[in-house]
Amino acid sequence: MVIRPWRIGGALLFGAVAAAVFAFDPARVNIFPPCIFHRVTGLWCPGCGATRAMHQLVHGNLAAAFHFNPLAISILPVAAYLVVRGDTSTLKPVWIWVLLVVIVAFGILRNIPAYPFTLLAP
Amino acid sequence: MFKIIGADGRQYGPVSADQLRQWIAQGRANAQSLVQAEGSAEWKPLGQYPEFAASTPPPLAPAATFQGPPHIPNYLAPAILSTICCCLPFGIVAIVFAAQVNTKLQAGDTRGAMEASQKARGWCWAAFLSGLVLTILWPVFLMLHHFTLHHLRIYRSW
Repeated sequence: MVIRPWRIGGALLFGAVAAAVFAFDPARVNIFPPCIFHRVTGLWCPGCGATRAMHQLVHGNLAAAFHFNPLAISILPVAAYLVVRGDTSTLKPVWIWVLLVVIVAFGILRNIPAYPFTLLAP
Repeated sequence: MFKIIGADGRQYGPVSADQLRQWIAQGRANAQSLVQAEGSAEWKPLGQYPEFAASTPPPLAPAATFQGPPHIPNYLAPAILSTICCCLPFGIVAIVFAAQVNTKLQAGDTRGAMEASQKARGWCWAAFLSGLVLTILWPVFLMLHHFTLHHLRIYRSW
């Protein structure tokens, strides 16, 4: 891995965001930017609750993390695999389409105001 | 008997014609390999020896020989991360184009895959930068909000 300024900047930014997510509970302190999609439409987007979920995850509360955003937590191992794999352009296309359908379906289902879909909302 | 210069630049042999044919079959020698026949001072490419013409594969374009399929990044990992972290529909669009890259690569449409790759990259940046701008602007907005309220409270107390 070559050291480049933008990589250092990216690592610093990531570190700062990670430290903030660890230190502050987004459910109580509103220092984190809100989801524009949620602000404008009032609907939950697939990523809504992800920051609260990450805060719970880094504090070891897996159940609470799942409560806020099960998709963001489940997708972490997938993302880790993709980063380790490196070249994602040789993946079978069908897996990416499946992933897309899962994300979009999750975004739709969590907005249905009836049990059990309410479990998916943050 | 023949002497041959390998891809490493070293000289091998003398070996028999049969041995040389075996090396050709194994891919250790090809039509461009320089070969010297016993009793001759001249080094010639293997492809120019009539006795090996049948065993050497047709010469390929040098660059194409050992290249696999073209590497076209699809930016899937950043697309997923920006979808989840930046909470914006731009990330979804980036995933659509990432999927298109692989679909087109599989269909052999290199040009289409490259175009989709460029678009995936663009949408990733759009998602990331809008998230970043929002992250930077949000505290500014909060501060303005706070000071405005504070000011109003003082104003009201008069």
